[in-house]
Amino acid sequence: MNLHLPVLAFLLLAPQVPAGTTLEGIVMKSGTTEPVPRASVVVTKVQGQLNDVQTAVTDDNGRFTVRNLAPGSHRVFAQREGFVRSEYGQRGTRPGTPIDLTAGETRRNINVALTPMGVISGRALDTDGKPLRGAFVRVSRGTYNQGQLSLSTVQRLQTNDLGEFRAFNLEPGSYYVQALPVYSPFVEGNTYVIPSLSAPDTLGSEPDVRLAPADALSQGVISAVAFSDEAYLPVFYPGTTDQSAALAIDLKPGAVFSGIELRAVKTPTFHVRGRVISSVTGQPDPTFTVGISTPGYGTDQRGGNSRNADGSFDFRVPPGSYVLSGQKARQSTQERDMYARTTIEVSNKDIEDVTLSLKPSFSLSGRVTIEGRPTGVADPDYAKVLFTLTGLGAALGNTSGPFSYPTVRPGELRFLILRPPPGMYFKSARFGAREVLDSGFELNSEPTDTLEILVSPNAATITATVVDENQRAVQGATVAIVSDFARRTRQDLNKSAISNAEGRVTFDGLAPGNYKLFAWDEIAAGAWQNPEVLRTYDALGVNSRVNENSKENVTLRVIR
Amino acid sequence: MNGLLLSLLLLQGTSSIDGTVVQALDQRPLSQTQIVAVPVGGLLKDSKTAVSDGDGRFRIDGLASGSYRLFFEHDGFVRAEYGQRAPGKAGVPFEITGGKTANGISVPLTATSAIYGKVVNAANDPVVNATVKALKPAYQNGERSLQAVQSVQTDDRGEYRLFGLPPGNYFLSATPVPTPYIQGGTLTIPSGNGFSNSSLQNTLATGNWIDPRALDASTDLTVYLPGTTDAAAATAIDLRPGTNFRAPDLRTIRTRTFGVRGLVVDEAGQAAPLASATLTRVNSTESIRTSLLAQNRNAFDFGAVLPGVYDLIGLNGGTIADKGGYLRITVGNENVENLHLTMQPVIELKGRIVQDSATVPAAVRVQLRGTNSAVGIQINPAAADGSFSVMRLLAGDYRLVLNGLPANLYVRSARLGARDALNSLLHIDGTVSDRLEIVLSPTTGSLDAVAVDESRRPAAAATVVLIPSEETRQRFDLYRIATTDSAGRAALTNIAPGSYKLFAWQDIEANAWQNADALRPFEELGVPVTIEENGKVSQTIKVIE
Repeated sequence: MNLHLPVLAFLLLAPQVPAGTTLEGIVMKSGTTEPVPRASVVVTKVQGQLNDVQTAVTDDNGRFTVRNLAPGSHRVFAQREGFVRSEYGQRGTRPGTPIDLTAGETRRNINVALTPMGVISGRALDTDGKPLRGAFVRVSRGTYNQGQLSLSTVQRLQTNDLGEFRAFNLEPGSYYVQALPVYSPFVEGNTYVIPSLSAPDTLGSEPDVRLAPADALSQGVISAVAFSDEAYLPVFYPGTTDQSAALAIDLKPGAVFSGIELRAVKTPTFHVRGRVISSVTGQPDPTFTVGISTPGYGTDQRGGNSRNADGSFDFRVPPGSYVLSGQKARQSTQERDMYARTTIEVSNKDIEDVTLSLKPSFSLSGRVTIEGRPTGVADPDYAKVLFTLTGLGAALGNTSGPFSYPTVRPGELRFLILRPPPGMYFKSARFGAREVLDSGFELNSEPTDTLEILVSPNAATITATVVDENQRAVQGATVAIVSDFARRTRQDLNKSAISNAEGRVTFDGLAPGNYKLFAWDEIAAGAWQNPEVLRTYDALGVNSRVNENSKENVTLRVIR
Repeated sequence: MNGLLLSLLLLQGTSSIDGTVVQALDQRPLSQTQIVAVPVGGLLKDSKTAVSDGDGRFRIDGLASGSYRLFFEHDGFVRAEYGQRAPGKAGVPFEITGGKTANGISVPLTATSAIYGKVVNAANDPVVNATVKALKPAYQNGERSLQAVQSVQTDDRGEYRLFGLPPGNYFLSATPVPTPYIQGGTLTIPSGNGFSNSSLQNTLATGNWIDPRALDASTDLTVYLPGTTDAAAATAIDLRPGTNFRAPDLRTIRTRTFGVRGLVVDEAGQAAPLASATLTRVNSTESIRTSLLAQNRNAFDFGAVLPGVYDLIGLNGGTIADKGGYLRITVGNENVENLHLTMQPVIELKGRIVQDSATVPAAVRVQLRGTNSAVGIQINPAAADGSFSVMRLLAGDYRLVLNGLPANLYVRSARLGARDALNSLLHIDGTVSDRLEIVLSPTTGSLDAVAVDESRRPAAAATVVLIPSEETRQRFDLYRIATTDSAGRAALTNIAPGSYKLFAWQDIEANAWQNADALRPFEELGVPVTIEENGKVSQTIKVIE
């Protein structure tokens, strides 16, 4: 008590000094009681000023004290190199919790958990086991979108002269690792080409360097590898060129996953040669462009452009399936864009004499009908019917239902339903005699059929309440609703939301059918879209069946 | 080989090259070297490749008669070309005449080296994501600076590795991730080559995270080996071929930064608007910053300014600014506050540019570069009679620069009244009434140089430089450079008439000759040359080894 007397005396002598409003806490490693020393703590005041922001650094015991705060609502952040920055109260997708302080109050035990980040390191080796220098190493997260796994790059590195790479500051989670040798220069006709794709994920960011022989010689850049008929294939951990055989590394908080060896795989390459012409004139045109890509690899594979005036093209690729596509952008509003697309299997020999015949784009028209409304009458709800077809964007529509896509390229079309109007759902889409809402359809020329979309105003709603073991509402849980399998690609019927303070989430715009709902306290964003992940939780989901206009309520026990 | 086969080969006229690839350091054979022979003036597809075997030997067959360039590549070695005098230099073509085998060429490859080490802070903690650079001296307009030849980022242990470096002298620097700072109403977060800005007001309203480093007005400086922030005091690493050099730890140094703030007033002392404010560090190419607060405000506010001397220039518009202000500011160890930047009418300088009986090309633009960091620009092309005007000048001393001048033209004279504007600074103030008269001329001369070595043999791949006489050494537009061919010849063209000195170096850093200190040791080795109008001179020059 004596210790406090001088402070009290000071306060009594100087009443104009605001009372020392104070926050105390410990920064510790998440999931442990281990302190994090030398972490930076930042306390901000909601609706505050710059001089309301206070900082502290934790001591050897992870402790911090922030004094002289103004009364009000404060947020407490902590950060240290090698940890994921976090806020007091934050956990997974759950946001932080502000702290309301009254004047003179001392609030203790404001503890912030920091998740340590991890490391994945290893070496890339050539086919003979020597270090592969300058190879690109891509560290990706698998994300599931409409049930499909796609890899999104989180870090891109390059090996050093010892073939070593080290990816750090990785949040806990599962990662795919892939080595991609540098794209080699090559010879196309009598042009020396240095690919712009010296790094993956940079397609189209800058043009290839194309040099005439004399320029390539005077710059002294010509390399023997440009004349090689072999190429490296991308290799996934643990040593496969097949993405579906790649293994994910489950990186624990703060883990160092080292010693990966990715050995390069070389393959012979073959030419794909042909000509690109217009189906209208039968002639080539210098404005036509041709690209080759591997389905599923996206932009990994080099595109390449035909620049030969006679329309000829010459690609050199490893064995595999390719999509060869050609296009021409229209030069004036009188013209149409032109496209061609063909699939090619390259096995063990050159492919010659491919003719890529560009066809003019065509138009597709259709009509949206809202069930029970008079047709052909202006109605503001039509403008709220939002959908796209893959690669086409939003339709040009009007407020009485008709819509059109003026430039459709040949290929497959699938629906992406963004949002039905409130209380409505997408009931059907008929193209001629076929129902295509869930399956999509293929179009290769100007159709005679129209696309008839029916929207029903009788959508169902499911309200989920998330509770814990003691039947208390859980805020900040990730709640997912999953449709039956046939409609799994429908993002209007498969979605997630975060529970509110009452533990509630409402899913509306639902079509009649069977659904399953889940609630997780903590789950990586989008992970529930992975069928493998979902299967492991199958027994913990709650089924719900809805009819038109159903208003169902379900209670979900949070999955921890 | 029997006679018939030999005749067949001769009839076909194809030839071979065989030789050995060795390590330059010890002449040991080098296997697995990738070799390509590219025909000069031929089709790329007629190039031939080979790989050296375990004894370093290679053979390229099936070469038609002609001239070829031979390139050699091997991981861990500097890319090489047949006939080059040193790594990185141009090679010479290999001549093939029908049906012969060129035997026994020996090509040395120089091993590259690595520099590795660690970057730590004052507390000995690793510095993560710092940029570490291997640097070499470079010269521009006579100024020596260090330019990166390779840069890498430190990892989570603060470790880095620079590799593939040809042997030679390297300086080493480490630059920590730039510190966010608060300037005016924005939170500026530098990243990459740019920065992102967010509104401080929005951040404060939501109570969002603010990087604590933005609050403590300090920054981490670039540190050079052996531990200095002064590039001129950096010491070089002599990197031997094929070595892994462990550099001493680079320790970062944190320093305070300061704000520079003030008001903008007119000549009557009333608040005046500003469109842009630029802070330029004197005698430096770095630290050019534009105040974001300046837009249509009567104030300027720079955050995170390092101690030093700066030129502050404010303008009330873009290219059409009609008022401008200038302050020279010294930032010591405290914020510089309450400055008054007085806006005055900018000065417009009129002039005429002419060329003997010809129209001046429209691309030619006159620029005046001030010692106060102000830049006067000619916005519109010269009129038919050659008249032009240079806008946005503030009182000060300026150097004349002509942009867009075709190579075959030179500036014969430039005068402002009685004053020479070509070889000396022009003082401009509010009372300038003279016109700037510029005369261009196409009567350039040329010089055919032959570089020879000690024993009077032609020196190939030498750098031949024509340097203006001492009183015009700062006229960097007068210098002429060329590289000699295999006969030691180099042609220098489009030379402005005048007095010069001719030099030839076998090995010199680009533009080092523009630097007085770098040129001094060679001054006596130059040969004086005078170029007359339309003159043509031949000169033999002994190459400096």
